[in-house]
Amino acid sequence: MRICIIAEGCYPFVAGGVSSWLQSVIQSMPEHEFVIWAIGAQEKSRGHFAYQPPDNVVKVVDVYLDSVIHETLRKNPRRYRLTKPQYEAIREMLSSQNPDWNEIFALFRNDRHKGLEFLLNRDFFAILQEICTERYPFVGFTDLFWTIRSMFLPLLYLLGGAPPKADLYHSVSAGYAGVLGSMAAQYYRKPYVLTEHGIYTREREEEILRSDWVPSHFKDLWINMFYMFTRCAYHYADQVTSLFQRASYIQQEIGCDADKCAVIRNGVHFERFENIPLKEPDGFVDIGAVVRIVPIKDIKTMLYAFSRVSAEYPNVRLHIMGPTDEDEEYYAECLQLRQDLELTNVAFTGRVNVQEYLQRIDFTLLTSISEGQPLAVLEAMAAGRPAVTTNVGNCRELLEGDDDNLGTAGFCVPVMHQGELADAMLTLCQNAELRRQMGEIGRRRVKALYGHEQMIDAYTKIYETAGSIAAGKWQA
Amino acid sequence: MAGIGFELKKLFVGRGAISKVRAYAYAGIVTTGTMVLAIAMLLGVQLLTRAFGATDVETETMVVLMVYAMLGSLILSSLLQMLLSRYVADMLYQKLNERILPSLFGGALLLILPGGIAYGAFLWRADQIDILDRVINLFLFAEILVVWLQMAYITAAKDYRRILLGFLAGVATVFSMSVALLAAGMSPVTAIMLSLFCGYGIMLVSFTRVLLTIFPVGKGSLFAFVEWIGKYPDLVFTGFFSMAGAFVHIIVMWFSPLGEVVAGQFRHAPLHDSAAFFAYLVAVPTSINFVISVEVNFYQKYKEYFSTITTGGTLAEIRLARDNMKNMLSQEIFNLTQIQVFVMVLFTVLMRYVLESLSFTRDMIGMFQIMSIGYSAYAIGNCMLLLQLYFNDRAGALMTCLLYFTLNLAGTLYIRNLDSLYYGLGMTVAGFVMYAFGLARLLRYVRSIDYHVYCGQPVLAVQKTGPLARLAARLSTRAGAVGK
Repeated sequence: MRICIIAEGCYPFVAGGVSSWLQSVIQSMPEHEFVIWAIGAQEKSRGHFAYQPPDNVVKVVDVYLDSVIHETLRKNPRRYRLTKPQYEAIREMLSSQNPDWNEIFALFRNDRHKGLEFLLNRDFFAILQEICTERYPFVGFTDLFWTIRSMFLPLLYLLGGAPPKADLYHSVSAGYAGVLGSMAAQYYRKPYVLTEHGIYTREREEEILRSDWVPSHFKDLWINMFYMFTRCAYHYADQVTSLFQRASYIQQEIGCDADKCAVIRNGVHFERFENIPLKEPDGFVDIGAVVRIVPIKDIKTMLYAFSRVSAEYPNVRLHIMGPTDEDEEYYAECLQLRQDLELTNVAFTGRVNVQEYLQRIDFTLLTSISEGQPLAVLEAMAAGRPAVTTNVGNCRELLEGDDDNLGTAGFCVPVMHQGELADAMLTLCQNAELRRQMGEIGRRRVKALYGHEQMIDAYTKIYETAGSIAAGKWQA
Repeated sequence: MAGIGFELKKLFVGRGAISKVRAYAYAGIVTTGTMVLAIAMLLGVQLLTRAFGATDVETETMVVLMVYAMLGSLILSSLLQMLLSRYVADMLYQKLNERILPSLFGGALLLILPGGIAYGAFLWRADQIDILDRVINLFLFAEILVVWLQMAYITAAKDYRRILLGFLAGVATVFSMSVALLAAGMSPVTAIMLSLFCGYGIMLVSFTRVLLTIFPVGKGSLFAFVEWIGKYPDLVFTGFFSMAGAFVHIIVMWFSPLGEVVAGQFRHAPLHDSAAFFAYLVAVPTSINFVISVEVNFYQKYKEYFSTITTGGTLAEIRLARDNMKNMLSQEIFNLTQIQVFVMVLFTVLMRYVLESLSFTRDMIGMFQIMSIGYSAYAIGNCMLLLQLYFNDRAGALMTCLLYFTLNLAGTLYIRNLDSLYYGLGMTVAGFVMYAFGLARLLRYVRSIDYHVYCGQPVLAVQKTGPLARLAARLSTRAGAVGK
């Protein structure tokens, strides 16, 4: 079977949880061929792959959101009128409601220029005026015009691309990837699977609320657009998976049909980690954080909290392992903070082989503001290392278990809480026996619930289910 | 999950600048004024030379030389006039004042060289005319050409008093010098050619001085504006057809039964020419009216509309401003038409007596009256075209003047062999069609002006590099190299 993976803003450009997961899933399914339809943010990342795609990846189709600004329109853009259903669908789309996506897919498919020309179209302008009259009568029209144009420009551009051919489409997030997956599956009449590691819509929402480039009175417009994308993917997907039960409930809350929802836990290659020996005592406690250096991981809180630990327990070292090039400005700020806090015992190692590096680590640390079900924590647990994490995503269940009666494998503390982070770290620093006990609990939990084989089997089954659902749907 | 929404801000393009198109509409009006002035001089010196007892042959020679130099340079300059006005407006908008005057020199060079050779060849073959007169006439041609081009720049100066003084000084020179030279017994043709040369020379110098007070001599390529030909090729055609359309029937009639050879390939159709030139004067009130009324009333609403758009007006505010502008536009067009009709009636009736005293025949007066109606329609039609340019409907402007030019040409070709009763009818029909089409197109365009303003803004900032843009870039790098 040929499976098309639709990845947005991660694989194969950016190293991280979703990307590593994807890499290992593809490697573990040598019986299938994979096509990667990768959506990058900027053209400058073209060719800069963080991963070498495995041999069973037959093609990587990369598109970039900012490519659109290098497109040139023909001198005389085509003028076309919309049919009534098209008009209605576009009206719904531009006001971020519930469009009939089939109309929209059919209108823009396989024609990059048509989408761009649409932004010059009389019907587009008429719809915009309608929306403005109904919903934004007191907002500057020029601002609204440019906002809507720039909101939908990337989408219209992406919709115009030719979808790669495959037997099954699998988006690894909602958002643009979800819309493209829906379009491709509809076009080729193939099954479509959506996997969400985090909850895309919520992440976008937070990002937009924090951003300073969207005027506050247009923030709801942007947020609603991403919700609309997500609903599109939920609607067309034959199966929707999430990593843990709570995430699945959120999907249903946003509008996903409960029948489609399935939970597939992340899996790690337990056998690669279980035999990593505990660190030989050397008078120091070594803490490891396997993270990309980006704001969402909240490295700054990590440094502040660690400086408290360091003040009380001097023989401690922090190793921050992960790529530093994704947000170089943030990385520079972190380096500056390390200097300001006079933390000589913090190392930014860059990307490392985690299996090897874990040998030097006593326990791990995660201070993220948002997570799904972090692989880094699972891998460390498999190696018998306890963890201190913030209470995000599925972290609490990973550490404390969900009715498995195994016990606690670390400490879960509130987000951005330096004090509790520091206390938890100190507790582990000062008590080697506790580290060993918690590490053992973690190892057993991963072995029982988070095996790689289990995960691959589950996805294989999901593909089969989606295939038969889709077959039924297209025959009817 | 790397933030994609975050990256979108780079696509959040700035608001496009609202056009600065009115400048070149304005230049069109100034040109009309200059043309009226030229015709007045043509008629004036004719009377003058007759008073000094010039022979018919001398008068004819003088008139054709004047007409050819004036019409030839006018039509030639019309190729670049609108385009250069646009270039000037763009440069002013970008505050690149130092690039303005070089384009005047570049444009003049570009036209004078081939134009001078062609016109020189024309003169060369008219060997019945004294060589001295022909040489002066060639220089006069080049000089007037530059004056026409200056009209594209001078409107930016806004120094109307000095501009007017320049015109007056030029005209005064022409007449006083003619009188002096004729009284001194110089051959009438030479005397008039020399006086015109000096009169236009004085205009040229005084306009240049006005220009130098507001623009620096400048630097960079003389031919940087060539890129604009690639950007706005339609302006070359609109400039040409709107100007040539007004006179093409005169040229066609030189080849009618009324036409005759004066010398070499110099032809004229004296009966028709005089009638046409007198009739052209009927356009004066509309030109004045356009400047006074449109500038004051309509432009105010026009400005309000665009500023509502750029300063964050709501849709309701924009629509209100648009409707105000639309109403003012209709009102102004109605006024313009009303006054023109009124003037036309008076002019056709009353001028008859003046023309009779100038020994116009009944046929000529008939042609004059028909063409007065025709030029009235043309005057308002031309205003429709200029208003189309205000709204940046360049396609509409081009269609309007192309329609006029074609109909005038075809109509005149058709009627030139009919009874003289019909002479002038071709351009009159063309004028009415131009008016009707121009008005309909204008009103239709303005009805959806919101759409045109917004969706006329490019989705993407496209830098078009056509062959002309590359040529201009090459010329400017070479100019830079020479500068070093």
